[in-house]
Amino acid sequence: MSARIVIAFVVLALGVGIAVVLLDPSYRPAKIAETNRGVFVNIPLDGPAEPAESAEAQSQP
Amino acid sequence: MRRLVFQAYCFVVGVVMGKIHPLTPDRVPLLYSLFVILLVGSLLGFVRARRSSFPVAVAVALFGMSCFFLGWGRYSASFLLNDPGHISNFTSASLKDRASVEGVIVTDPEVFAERVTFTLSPIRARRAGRDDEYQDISGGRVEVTVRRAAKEWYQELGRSDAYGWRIRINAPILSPPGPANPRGFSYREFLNDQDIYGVQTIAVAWGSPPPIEILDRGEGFFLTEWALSIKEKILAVYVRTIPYPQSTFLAGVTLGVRSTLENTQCIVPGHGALILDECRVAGVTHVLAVSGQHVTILSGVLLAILSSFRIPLRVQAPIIILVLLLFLIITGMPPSAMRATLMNSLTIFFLAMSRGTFQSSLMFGIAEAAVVVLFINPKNIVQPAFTLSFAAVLSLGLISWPLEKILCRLKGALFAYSAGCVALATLICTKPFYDAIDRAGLLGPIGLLAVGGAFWVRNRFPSDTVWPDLAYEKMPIFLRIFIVAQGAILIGMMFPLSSFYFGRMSLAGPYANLIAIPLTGVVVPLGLLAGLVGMIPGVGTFLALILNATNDCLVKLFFLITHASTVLFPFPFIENLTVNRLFLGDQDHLLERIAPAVREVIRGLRHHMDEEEAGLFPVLERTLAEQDAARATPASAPCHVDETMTVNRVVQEFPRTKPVFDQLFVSVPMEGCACLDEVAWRHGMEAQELLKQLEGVIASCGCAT
Repeated sequence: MSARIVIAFVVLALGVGIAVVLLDPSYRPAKIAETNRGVFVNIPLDGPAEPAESAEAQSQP
Repeated sequence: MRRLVFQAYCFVVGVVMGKIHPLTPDRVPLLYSLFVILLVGSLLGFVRARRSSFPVAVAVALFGMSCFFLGWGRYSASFLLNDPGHISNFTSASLKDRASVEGVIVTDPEVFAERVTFTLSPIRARRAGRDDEYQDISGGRVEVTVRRAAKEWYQELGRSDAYGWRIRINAPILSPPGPANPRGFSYREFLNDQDIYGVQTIAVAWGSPPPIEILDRGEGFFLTEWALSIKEKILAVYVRTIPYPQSTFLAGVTLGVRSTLENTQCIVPGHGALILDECRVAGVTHVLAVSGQHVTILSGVLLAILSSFRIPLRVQAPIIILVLLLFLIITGMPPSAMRATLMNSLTIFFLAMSRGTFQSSLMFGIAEAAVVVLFINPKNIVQPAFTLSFAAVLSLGLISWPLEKILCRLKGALFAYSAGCVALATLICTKPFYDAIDRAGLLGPIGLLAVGGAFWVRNRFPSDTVWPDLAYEKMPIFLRIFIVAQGAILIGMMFPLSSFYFGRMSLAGPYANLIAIPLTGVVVPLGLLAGLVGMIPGVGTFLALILNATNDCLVKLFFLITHASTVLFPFPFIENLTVNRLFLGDQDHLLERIAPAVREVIRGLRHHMDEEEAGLFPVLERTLAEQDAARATPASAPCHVDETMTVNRVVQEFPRTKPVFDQLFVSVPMEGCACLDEVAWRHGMEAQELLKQLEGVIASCGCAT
C-alpha cells in the first residue's frame, strides 16, 4: 500500500462526511442526540434538545 | 524460538490433561514438585549440552515435561474449593436463605434495558441465622444483577463510576443454575469458568436491611478507571455524532458495548427482525465483539500505513504495540481484547526483532499468549471465546499458506471449472434451492463428485492449452489474501467449532464477510478516530460529526448486507460434521424414533397444566370478582390510562395518542410491549407527566367515550 492510497482514502472519507453533513439538515448534534435518547442509559445527552412539535400541533387534522 | 513454542504447547497439553483428568487437591503439590525437579534437570541438561556432547533433545524433552506437569497442576489447582472460606460454601438453592456479602465491584457494570449486571469480589460474608459474625472470603466471585424494578439502585450502579466501589449486598447467594437439558448449556459451568460461584439478584429498592449498602465509593485499579472514563467520553461523542441505530453498532464494534444492540431493529422497513439476530444468520456476529479480529485489523491498518511511508519494521513495532495498548485501554480492557492485544503485540515484536518469518513469529505469539492466558485462568481452555479466537489465528498461521499453494495451481480450464463449482455451491446454498434438498446426505457425494471432476478437467485440459490467461495467481493480491484468510478460518474454525459450540452454521458467512470484514476495517479506525477527536473542546464535535457521517453510511451498508444475507441464505441447524451426517445422514429416521417420547412428554405437560389450571382458576375468578366490586364504587376522577398499561394497548384503545409517543421518539413497534412507566423512565420523564399528556389528548379528542 502506497502513501498515495492512504491519503486518497482519508480524503475520500472526509469528503463523504462533509457532503453528508452539508446535504442532510437532520445531521446536527442536537438532532442526533435526540435519536439516541434512552438508548445509552448511563450517558447524558449533551446540549439542549431542539424543541419538537407539540402533541396538539401534531394531532391537528 | 521453536523450543519455546514446544514448551508452550506442552503446557497447553498439560492443561487439557487437567480438564480430562483433574487430580484431587492433595496431589497438586506432587505435580508442582515434578515440575520443579524436571525444570532443574532440563536446565542442567542445557548447561551440559553446551559444554559436552549431552544431547539437547533430552534437555528439551525434560523442559517440555516440566511444563506439562505445570499445566496439569495449574488446572487441578483451579478447583480447590475445599477451603471453608470459598464463596461456594456460602451459596444456597433456596431464596429463603438470606445472606450479606461485602465486596468490591471488579467489572464495568453492564447496563441492559431491564437490568444491570456486574461482578463482585467478596471480602467477607455472613449467612442469616447460621453465622453470628462475618467470615472472610478466600476465593470465588459473585455475579450481581440489579433489576430495573429496583429503580434507585439500577440508576446508581448502572454507571462505570461504580467500578471499584465497596458495597454490601443483602440478598440470598444462589448457586447458578445448571443445564436445563442433559448435556445442554450450563450457566453454572459458564460462570464457574470465570471464577464466579454465586449469583445475587436485587429486584426491589426497599427492605430491612436495605438490599444494597454502599460502604465506600473508592476507586479501583487506576488504569481501568482511566480506561472506563475514556470509554464513557467516547460514547458521549457517539451519542452526539451518529444517529440511532448506527450508534449502537459503532459502540459495539469499537468499544464492545453490546447491551444497546439487544433490542435494535433492522433498518429495512417492514421487517421486525433484530439486528443481532440478522448478524447471527449472516455469520458476522464476530465483528460485534472487541476481539482478535479488531486488534488484528488495527495492527494491519497501522502496518500498512507505516509501511507506505517506508518506516523500518523495528521502528513500527513499538508504535503499533503502543497504539494497541491504547486501544485496549479505550475498549475498557475486556478479556478478549487483552488476549488479542497480547497475541498481536508478541507477534509484531518477534517479527521485528528476530530474523524469523511472519508465520514463525505468529506461531510463537499465539503459543506464548496461550500460556499467559491459561496460566492466569486455566479454565479458559474450554471457553468458546478462547478456543474460537485461538483457532482463528492458528488457522491463519497453519492453513493459509498451504491453501494459497493449492489455489495457485488453479490455472486455465481448471480455474474456470473451480469458479463454476463455487458459483454452483453458492446457488445450492441459497434459500429456494437449499430448501428443495430433502436429504442433507446428498451434499457429501456431490462434493466428492466435484473434486473428482477437478482431477478429470486437470488431466483432460492442461493449463497451457485452454484459457492460459485464466489463473488464480493473476487475481488482485488483496482479493487473494482475503480468499485465503477466509478459507483458512472456515476450514480451521468456522466449520468444526461453530457447529460444535452453537449447533448452527451460517451459510451466508463466507459471502457476507467478504464485504463485512473490509467494512469493519474502515469503520473501527474511523470510529475510534472520531471518538478521540470528538473529545477536543470546540472544533472536536464538528470533526467527529464529519468522520461519523462517513461511518453512518458504511454502517447502513453493513446493515443492508446483513439483511440481504438473511433474505437470501438459510441458517440451518448442524450439530457436528460427521461422516454419518455427510454421507448417510437421514434425520427422518431420528425423528421417527424420538416422536413417541415427545408425544408422551407433551401429554404429561398438558395433564400438568390442567391440574394447575384447576387450582388457579377459582383464585383468579375470586380476585376478578373483588376487582369488579371495587370498580362498581364511584371514582373521584375518570382515568383512562394508568402506568401499568402497555404502549400497544394505549395506542389500540386511543389511536389519537400516537402523536404523543411520536413526539417522545417512542418507537411503537419496538417499545410497544413496555409499560408506560418504563417508557417514561427510558425517555427521561416522570410517569405521571406522560400520563397527564395522554389524558389531555384523550380528553381533547373525546375518544374516551
